[in-house]
Amino acid sequence: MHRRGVGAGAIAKKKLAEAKYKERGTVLAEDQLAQMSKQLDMFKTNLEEFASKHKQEIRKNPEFRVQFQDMCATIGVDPLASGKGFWSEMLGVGDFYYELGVQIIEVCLALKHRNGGLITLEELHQQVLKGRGKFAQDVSQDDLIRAIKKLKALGTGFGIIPVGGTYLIQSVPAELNMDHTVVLQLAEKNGYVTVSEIKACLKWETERARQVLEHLLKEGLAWLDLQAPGEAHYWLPALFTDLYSQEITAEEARETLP
Amino acid sequence: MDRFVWTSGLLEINETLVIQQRGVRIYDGEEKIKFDAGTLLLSTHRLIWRDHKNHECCMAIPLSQIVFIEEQAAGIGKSAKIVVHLHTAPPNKEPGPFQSSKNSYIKLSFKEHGQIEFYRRLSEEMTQRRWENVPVSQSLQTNRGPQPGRIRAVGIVGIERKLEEKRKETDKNISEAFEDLSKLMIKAKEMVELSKSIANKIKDKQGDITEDETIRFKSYLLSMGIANPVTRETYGSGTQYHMQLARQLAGILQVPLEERGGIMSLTEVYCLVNRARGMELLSPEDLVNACKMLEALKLPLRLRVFDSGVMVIELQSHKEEEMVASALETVSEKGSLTSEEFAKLVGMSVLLAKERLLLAEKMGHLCRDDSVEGLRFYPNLFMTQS
Repeated sequence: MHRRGVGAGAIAKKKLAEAKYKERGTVLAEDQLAQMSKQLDMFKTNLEEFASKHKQEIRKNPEFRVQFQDMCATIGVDPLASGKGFWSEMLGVGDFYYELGVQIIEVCLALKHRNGGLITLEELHQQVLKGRGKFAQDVSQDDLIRAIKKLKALGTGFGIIPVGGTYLIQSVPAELNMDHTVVLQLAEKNGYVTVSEIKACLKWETERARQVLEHLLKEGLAWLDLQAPGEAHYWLPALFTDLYSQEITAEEARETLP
Repeated sequence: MDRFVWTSGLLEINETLVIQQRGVRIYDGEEKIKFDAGTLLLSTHRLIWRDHKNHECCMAIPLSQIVFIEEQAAGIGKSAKIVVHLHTAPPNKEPGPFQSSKNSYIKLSFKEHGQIEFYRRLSEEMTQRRWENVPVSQSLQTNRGPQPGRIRAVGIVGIERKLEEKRKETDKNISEAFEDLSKLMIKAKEMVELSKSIANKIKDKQGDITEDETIRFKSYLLSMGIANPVTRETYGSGTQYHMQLARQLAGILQVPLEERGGIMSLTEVYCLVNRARGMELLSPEDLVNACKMLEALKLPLRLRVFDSGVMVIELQSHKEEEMVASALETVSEKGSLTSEEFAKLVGMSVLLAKERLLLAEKMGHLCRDDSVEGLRFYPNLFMTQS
């Protein structure tokens, strides 16, 4: 008696069944792609309608921009991923953020010699606004953060470090680990930090504190002040604000010296 | 305008700076006055204005003096403004720029922008009223806000009603925009679900899907801004768009690269290309994805990633390893060089100069001297002199 499934005939039949299954599989994908194409066209129309009514709102209202971005993120869509995306083309969000990216890069490059590539979000905001000029549209700090997050794709070493309620923006590929970040946060209060302060607040040994400070010096993020009263002060130029350092002329500087 | 008092501009103990903005002009009511260019500072206790040119001209208002604030949008030739409505000045107020004023409000005009952020922070401070919890010297505590029995400033009721109406109108616009946005997002979410289901099909069939279909699918993902569910990268190995872009870049960047010694960082390329375009700018990811295809398309440029993560575009004809030999010569001539010194000598960006020196070190031609005075490179005599 023949066992079922064995024999040339059964094998051929199996092959035929597989082929038919594959064919149907291909048709299924084709169907779905066609469906997606159609839905995409419909979506484009919906987006166009939305844009015609609310494009200005997005342009002018930074809170609305935040809501828009958050909603996109929730559903798994990145409206800024590509300039060729619908969102960018129709709502104009792309150009706004990509141009901001260029301006951020330029400001960071211009100030790098002074602060070693570390700048507060506030100062970056001020400088970018200055560069944009009177007739350009206002930007919020949230806008800057989003633009910077996108810039990370360029492998530039852009980083966002939270310190005391605000952020420090890093624009050079300097290695900054947790220890360095914590010391930066400590320095935020006075604009400088000392070995004793680190030991007292963070409970570190002298050697660990010294290593971190040396690294910041090497990277050009900190300046060494050996003339400070008591012990050496390590200043972070990134944290200088107008209130601490007013622009004084050479004569004024000479006058204040004994 | 008679509510301001002269001040040194220094913060008191327990008074913290919240935000500051340059380029602010003050109006007394609707009138322009001589304080037309200064820095406006917001602290937890006061609003301070300091003249740009004459830092001695510095005045402040305690936040407790503020009744409420409104925004005034920018117009053609007009900067955005914040209107600040004030209580009447208390009798024991310290001297200020104006003895009297017929206006119970001032306007702050943001000629160098920054109005959005400033308004947000000022609103926050007005809500939190931190000055009430954190006492500072008496001179700042001139007004504790509306007290029972105080006569309210004239016209406040009318102003508040107008503000309420404006808020309702704005709310209506916003809520309509939000409603439309929510509806749109629901549709967008459907697209995301559909793309996931197609991606699953692709995974199951494991290569039975045609090349053509893959390309179509990727371009749909590109339009919607959906990450490729199969590879998790945005657009995986690129779409038609990126291929086109790669060819365009090869054309645009040939000359700039030659002018810069055959190599440019991706950041420089991003700025160069987008500045030239003016509009329809490239996203950072567009640029990276296009550059990833340069080599595959046999174009005369290529993308290179250094160990540090720095990404550059090089001409195919550029041989960084050969440049290392000339770098060694330069360093030997000078004895030793830092990245900055080398960059200046050769006419390169410091970033790329550093990469070249690091590569030379990796290849064994240079040694480093790493100290707090900086990173300095020397010819590697261990190799050359036995």
